[in-house]
Amino acid sequence: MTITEPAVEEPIEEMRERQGLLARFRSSWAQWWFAYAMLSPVVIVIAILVLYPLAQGVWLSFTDATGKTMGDVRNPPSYEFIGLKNYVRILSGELKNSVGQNFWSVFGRTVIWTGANVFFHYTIGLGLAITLNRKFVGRSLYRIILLIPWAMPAYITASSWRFLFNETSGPINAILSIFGIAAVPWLGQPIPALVAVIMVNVWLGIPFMMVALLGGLQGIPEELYQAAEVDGASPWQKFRLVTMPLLRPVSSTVILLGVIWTFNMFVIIFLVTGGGPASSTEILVTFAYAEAFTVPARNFAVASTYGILILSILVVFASIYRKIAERSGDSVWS
Amino acid sequence: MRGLKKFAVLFAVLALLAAACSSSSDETTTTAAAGGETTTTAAAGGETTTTAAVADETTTTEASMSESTELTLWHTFNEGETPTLDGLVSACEAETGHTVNVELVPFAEAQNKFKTAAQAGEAPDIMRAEIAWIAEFADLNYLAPITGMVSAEDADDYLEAPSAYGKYAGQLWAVPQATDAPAVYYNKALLEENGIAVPTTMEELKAAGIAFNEATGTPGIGTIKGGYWTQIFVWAFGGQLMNDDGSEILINSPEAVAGLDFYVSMQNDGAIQEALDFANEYGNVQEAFKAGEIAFNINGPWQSSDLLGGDAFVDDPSNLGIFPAPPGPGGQGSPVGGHSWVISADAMDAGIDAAAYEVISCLNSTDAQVTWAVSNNILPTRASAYETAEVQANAVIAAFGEAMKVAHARPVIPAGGAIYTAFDANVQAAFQGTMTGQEAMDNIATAWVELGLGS
Repeated sequence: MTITEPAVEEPIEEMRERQGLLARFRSSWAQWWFAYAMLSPVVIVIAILVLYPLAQGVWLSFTDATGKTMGDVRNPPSYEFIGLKNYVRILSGELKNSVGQNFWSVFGRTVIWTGANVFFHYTIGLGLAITLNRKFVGRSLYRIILLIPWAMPAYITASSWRFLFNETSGPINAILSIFGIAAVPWLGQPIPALVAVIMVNVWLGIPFMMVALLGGLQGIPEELYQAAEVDGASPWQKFRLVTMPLLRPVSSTVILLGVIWTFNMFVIIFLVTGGGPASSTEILVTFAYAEAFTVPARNFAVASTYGILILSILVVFASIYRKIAERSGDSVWS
Repeated sequence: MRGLKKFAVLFAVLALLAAACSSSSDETTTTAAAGGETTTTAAAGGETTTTAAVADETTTTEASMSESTELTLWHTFNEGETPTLDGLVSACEAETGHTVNVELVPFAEAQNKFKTAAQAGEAPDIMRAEIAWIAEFADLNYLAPITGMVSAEDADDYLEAPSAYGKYAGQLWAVPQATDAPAVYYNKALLEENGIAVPTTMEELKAAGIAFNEATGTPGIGTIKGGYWTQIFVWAFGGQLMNDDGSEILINSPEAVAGLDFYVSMQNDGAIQEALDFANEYGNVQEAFKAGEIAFNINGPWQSSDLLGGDAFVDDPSNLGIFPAPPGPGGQGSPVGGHSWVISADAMDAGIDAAAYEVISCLNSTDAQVTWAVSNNILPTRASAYETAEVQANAVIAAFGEAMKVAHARPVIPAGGAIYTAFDANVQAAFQGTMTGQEAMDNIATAWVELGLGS
């Protein structure tokens, strides 16, 4: 008789888990059908706009689809499944462009590009946010001015900077010449060109970091600073022991976002240098574009493979980053 | 009752979704509804459907044969040229009775935009395509052949080099609208001031650039350091890009390498600008030449209106001199470029390609070409246009007519535009000094093999 007792006592949750999947769905449907119905438009739209193209991209990366085999209104598609061949060709470095750039050389540059950009975005953005977090005359005007880079269309930004970098008549070289420095071929040699595009993107990305971090700073209670002052903390100690730890939830989120955005930042490089000179400022996204769309029969299969590789790299990065952030006790991630 | 309510809610949600999408797919919905009706008829009796289909076809044919057809036209003209096009289109609408919807597509986007549209079956009926795109579009089955449409008279009248770009795989796909070939512009007053004679060979041109540099401190010649422009030097030294059908790559032959080495030596010896600023170079060279800071400028006829507006020429247009790209030790010539009119395969499927050709034929008449030449300094592609008094009176066109005589046609291959991607990157590397001429040309040859050339 005592054997049946635990079954009666069993919590509903556990009982649910014992039921079959279908039965569980049925009971959940009976209870929540209205919520599902309300969710369905979003689910359908996401499926059409995100999941379907993603699945299509994954599928194409396993084929030999080009503009010619892709088919059109008159001809049916004629591309074939070729397994992991695209991945092998790209990851082995076999697929390279005419000046010898391959996936790994471009990946290395993409890491430098992303690291340098996010580092300067964060440090300069934090500096400006701390400055703007104090009360001084004209603060709101400063804030608006500092937001301008963000509000400007990328095309305008790119062409303005291309003008500034002009080797013969650009203002930057004109200023350098005042100090007796010879004209720098900003967009003509590999290293200056990489420095140049990073400068443009740093300029462009600071406002976002500044605004996000300013929001984080304003959420830190004033009392903590007062308490630190009572304990005799120096400004540096206050920054290190109060500001930084309390800013961490915001910081870790914006840095992750910054890395993803910068890694995939196409327009600036495309519009300022076009990936040149001689492919020396190409990052993965611009490289994939050049490899896919500047050949006559557009190589959709290789382009998709690059897309999936870039996505995989970012997913791996984001999950590792999340683990680290969780371990250091950020509540926003759990 | 409850089940009914569920359905009602689901239906309402889906209806909402459908309503949100419907604004963009109105046409599709209508077609689908029409299709539905036909199906119903089919269910009633097979014969009825057949009749309906025949009736439908007749209607379509009648529509296309009628006097007025609505056509779309994509072009890549610039701001200064668009008013001329608008004027010609209005005149041709009146002449042919068709309606033409003109749409400007920026040149840089036009090639990809056309391919994307054509793949979806939504290509414009008429397009002004750059000559290097024609073989590629034809190879993808995106164009309508016009072999039988061009009259024998017209075929004779069109210049040989520009119309060669429309011939691919045994068919004619395009008629040339404009042609061009770079030549050397020079500032007569600056040459006189510095005691420099008009060069007649490549060596003399280089020497003139150096002499100007010694006299003024600025290299005398402005050029663009890209593949397109390197061709002039490749041909001058007896090289070639490839043979006519692209089955043999010749870009890394000793002659072609000598051409690139000579071009790079012009930079290293101070004959052309030393600045390495590929993104701004084109504009910088034009500004320097317009301001009278440099004496020579290798460029095409399309730049002439802009150059004549510069400080050095605005008061005295006769100060602008033009001579064909000078001969080198192995040959002479500059690349023939230009734009042609093509008709899309979609227009052919819709049965309106004949109407499209009527419009093209009007837009490309001798009179129209004279209008282009006079208003925009665009080089005509018809021999008869060069014979008119108006064209002969135009000094710029007359000078470029000379350059056309020694110009080279580029290979007519589907990869015609794509060959410059690797060409540009490696020529840039040679100018940077990170590669020798031979290395650069070898890389280009390897890249071209990947484009399917050389076999």
